[in-house]
Amino acid sequence: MNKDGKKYIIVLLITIGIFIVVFGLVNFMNNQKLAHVDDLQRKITADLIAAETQFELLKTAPCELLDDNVLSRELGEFGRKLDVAETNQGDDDADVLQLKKYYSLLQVKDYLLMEELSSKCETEIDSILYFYGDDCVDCSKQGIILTEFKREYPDIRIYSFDTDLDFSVIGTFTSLYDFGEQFPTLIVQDETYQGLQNLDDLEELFPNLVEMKEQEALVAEAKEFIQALEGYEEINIEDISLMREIDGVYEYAIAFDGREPDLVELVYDEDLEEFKQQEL
Amino acid sequence: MRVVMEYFLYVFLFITLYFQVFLLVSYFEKKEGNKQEKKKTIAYLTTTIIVPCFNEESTVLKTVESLLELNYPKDKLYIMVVDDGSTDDTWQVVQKYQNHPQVVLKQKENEGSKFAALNFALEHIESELVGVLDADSWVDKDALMYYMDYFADPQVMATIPSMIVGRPETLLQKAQKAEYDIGLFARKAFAKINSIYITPGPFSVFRKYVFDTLGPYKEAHHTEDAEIALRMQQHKYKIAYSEKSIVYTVGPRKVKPLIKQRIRWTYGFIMNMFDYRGLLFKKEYKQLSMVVLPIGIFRVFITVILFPLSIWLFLLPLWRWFEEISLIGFSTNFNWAIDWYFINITQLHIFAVIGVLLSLMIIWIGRELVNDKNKFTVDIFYMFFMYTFIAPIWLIQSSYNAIFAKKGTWR
Repeated sequence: MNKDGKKYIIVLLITIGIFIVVFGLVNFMNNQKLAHVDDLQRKITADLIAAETQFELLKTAPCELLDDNVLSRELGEFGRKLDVAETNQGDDDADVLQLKKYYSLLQVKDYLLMEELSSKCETEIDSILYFYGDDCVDCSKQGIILTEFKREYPDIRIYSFDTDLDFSVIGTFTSLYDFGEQFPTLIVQDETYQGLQNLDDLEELFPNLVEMKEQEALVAEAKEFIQALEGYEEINIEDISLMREIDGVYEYAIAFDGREPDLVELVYDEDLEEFKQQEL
Repeated sequence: MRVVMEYFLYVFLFITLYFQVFLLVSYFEKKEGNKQEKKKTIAYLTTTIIVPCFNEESTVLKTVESLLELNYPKDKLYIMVVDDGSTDDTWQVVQKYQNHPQVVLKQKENEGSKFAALNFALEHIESELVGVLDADSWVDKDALMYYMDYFADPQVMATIPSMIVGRPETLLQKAQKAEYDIGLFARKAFAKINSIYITPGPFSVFRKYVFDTLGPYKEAHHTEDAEIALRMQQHKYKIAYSEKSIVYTVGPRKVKPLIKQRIRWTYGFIMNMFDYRGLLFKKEYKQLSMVVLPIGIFRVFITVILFPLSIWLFLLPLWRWFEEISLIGFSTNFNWAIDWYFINITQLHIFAVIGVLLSLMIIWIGRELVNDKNKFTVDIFYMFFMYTFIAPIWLIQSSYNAIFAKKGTWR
């Protein structure tokens, strides 16, 4: 081989080498991420089994012992990270598919546990079952909306299922509800909603969540109002607490070190959207 | 669709990277057959420098003065100012040299092209070497002397200088300065493998023999300096690069003239390559023919495809973001806590970093060649900006022009 030919090949080898390093590096990072998701999945599994066991043990115990902390909080994080892995690796990656099945399984288990808890203790836990498919135009939009809804109302439990995932548990689960192959499909309190639901639609479905959030906002505003009052400028926001509400009169207590708390009564004027202090 | 696009992108990236590695390897190659000892005495050849000017009344004196100040025997250096039918006071201004023993003044009617002025001058020249210096450029005083090291080799038929943007003022000129410095590296690498395919207007010097044997300049789509180099390569005439010979030139101050200039260059390059397509993929023309010219052409068209592609890849996330905003409104409760998991690094990001690092390295080498102490300056940033947003315009426009013009000749 002549000198030029050798050079072309050496340059080619260097270039291929750089490509291999770059692609290998990215592949390595993606695998690290997947391993991280895998760890998360193990942790959630352990949590869930612990919760189930706890539930079994306390079946005869009064409901106060069973706060909703037994339900896993990390499922959402798992879902989000799995989503990223899916975009990076492609949705036909074997590892991703395996993790997705795990995710669906954990969600179903979590859902069942939640149902049992709410029927035993007659508390209401707000949840949405969300079914989507691959070739569905509105599904990505619905996903974005649900993510935002969860961010605004963190107490909601959203379970999402990819119906195109070849997984018997999802098949059994969907057959329970018996809806047509039309996506996105949401199930809220055994009612089926098909087609894109925007934020307002969702808020209508959960009036209690909206009300609770409004209440919280009102309390926060009231506390700020108290802080602006004469003599209370130095008060920390944690030291103010709502005592009770009677006929639109809110009674707040302001704690002090070493002496009795002060009581302040406020009235909210809905027309002016502001508070007024009521003389004691 | 996205997968196909990315696939294309990686093929393009591969070829581009291949070329960069090829240039680097060439740069560090040892040049063979150049081991002869330097002669202690310099053989000064008689030289005539043509200064073609068309409406250059404000700059022509500076150009001629810089030539007269060259470190070169006065009896061996002549300057021929050709007034190509200027409509301003260029002719009156140069009358200053009417009785200067080294300066010859010529006047002709304008024919709309520089090559005619150069050929007009060639008819009156008898010296051993002939050079050209545009009236918007000026030379360093040792430039011509250094050339003699290269012309000492009887096979060297032409020598080209290091071109530097002199006194850049606008951001655009600063961007061009960095760009020209990158060009110095490429020039050196091409010289190592006998693949210089352009003898630029400012201060390329030829043996008169070139024109005697190959004929005068041609119109060559307004890029006579590219055509003559290709013609020399076709006849295997050697072109050398003297990095220590520095010539200063000015770049266009504004975007519009810059685009116009670059369209002329790129269009001329494509058209000349079409005319000299016989140079492509011939073993006898070696690396010029197998790598340098093919990838040179490829790189023009790559940008034509790469630009819409990168716009598309850039717009896609933007579109997603827009869609999200329109669905849920502008989210105010943004979470500032960064989870490393969500920071997405793709192959493209890494290649972009490699590209920037390579550019910095090449600029460093280029500036080292001309002893520029300021290696990493802000103008590099301007250059990246120019290449991202302005270069695609001229590349696309000139490709379009070339394809369109070709259709005309094919019919």
